[in-house]
Amino acid sequence: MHAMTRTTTAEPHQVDSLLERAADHDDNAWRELIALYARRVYAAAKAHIASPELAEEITQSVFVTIAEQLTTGKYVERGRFESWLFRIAMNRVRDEARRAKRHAIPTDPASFDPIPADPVSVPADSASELTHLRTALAQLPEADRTIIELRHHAALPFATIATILEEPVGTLLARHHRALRKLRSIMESANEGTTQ
Amino acid sequence: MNTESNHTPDDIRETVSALDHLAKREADAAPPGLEDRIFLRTAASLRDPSARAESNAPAPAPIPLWNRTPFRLAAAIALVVIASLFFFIPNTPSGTTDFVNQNTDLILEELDSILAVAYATDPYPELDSIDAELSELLNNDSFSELDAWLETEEAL
Repeated sequence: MHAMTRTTTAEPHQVDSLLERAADHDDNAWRELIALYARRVYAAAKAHIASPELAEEITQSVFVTIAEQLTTGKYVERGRFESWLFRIAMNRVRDEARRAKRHAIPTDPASFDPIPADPVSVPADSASELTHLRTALAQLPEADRTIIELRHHAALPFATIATILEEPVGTLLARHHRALRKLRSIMESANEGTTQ
Repeated sequence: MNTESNHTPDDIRETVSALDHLAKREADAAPPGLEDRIFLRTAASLRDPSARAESNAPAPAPIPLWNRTPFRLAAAIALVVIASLFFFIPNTPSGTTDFVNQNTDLILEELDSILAVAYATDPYPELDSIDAELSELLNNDSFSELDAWLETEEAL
């Protein structure tokens, strides 16, 4: 089995062709689709859920749903595969986050340990900035967080995000801008708190 | 990570850049072999959509206790047995119950005879005899046993 680590983008007509072949039980087309999208789905899930295992589980369940819908002829979103895929993904992420919240043990946020840096060699300052950014991201309201995750982690164009969230592109751009300003403000407040 | 950043307003440019950096780091830190594992675990669903439905189908719910026929049968038998016990087994303790039954029978017999006399004739001339009968009944020695029993009960 060859390793699949490619994460690129594909033209819509290429994706449509892969989908048609996958619906005809073509394993190679299915591999291609997974290679194109699994990592992005994983990144969006991981940004929200934080647990790598859970993010992988969500990614898997999203692809199982896609496979079922394709082979049973229920996929009707021709030309809008990305928005469909990430809508399924974000619904799963939200469900999982709700479930986690229900089972969460209340903890004083001040006592949180710093999030460990990924096992990739990075300068200490950069790692701490990223930890800082993740913490700030977690403090954003759900709706703002979703936009940021779809835009930056899932690497989706604004038009696709607008389709997923069923909002006009203009509104979405404004909301994205506002969300980022909020994020910056949270980070600045945290910085002020640590320097005082 | 995102290529659509030409129009990013200045006030958020730095935040956007930091977010893209974070997103790239997280995507790069995905566990090795992610795509291979996802393929292996999902290919079956592509070949046979019912595969997952079967494997993930919830276990059949346990049959509620009272829906089980053997339990129903056992409950019915128990009811019949308990009812039979009440009907066919003599009451115990025999002393107290027998005593009450005997006196009840005696009273009913007395009343029967009183009513027979009263309705056989014009009731008014017979009032004296009814009165006499009642007096006799009330003074009957058969009640002394009941009185004695009641006194014993009170004493307890």
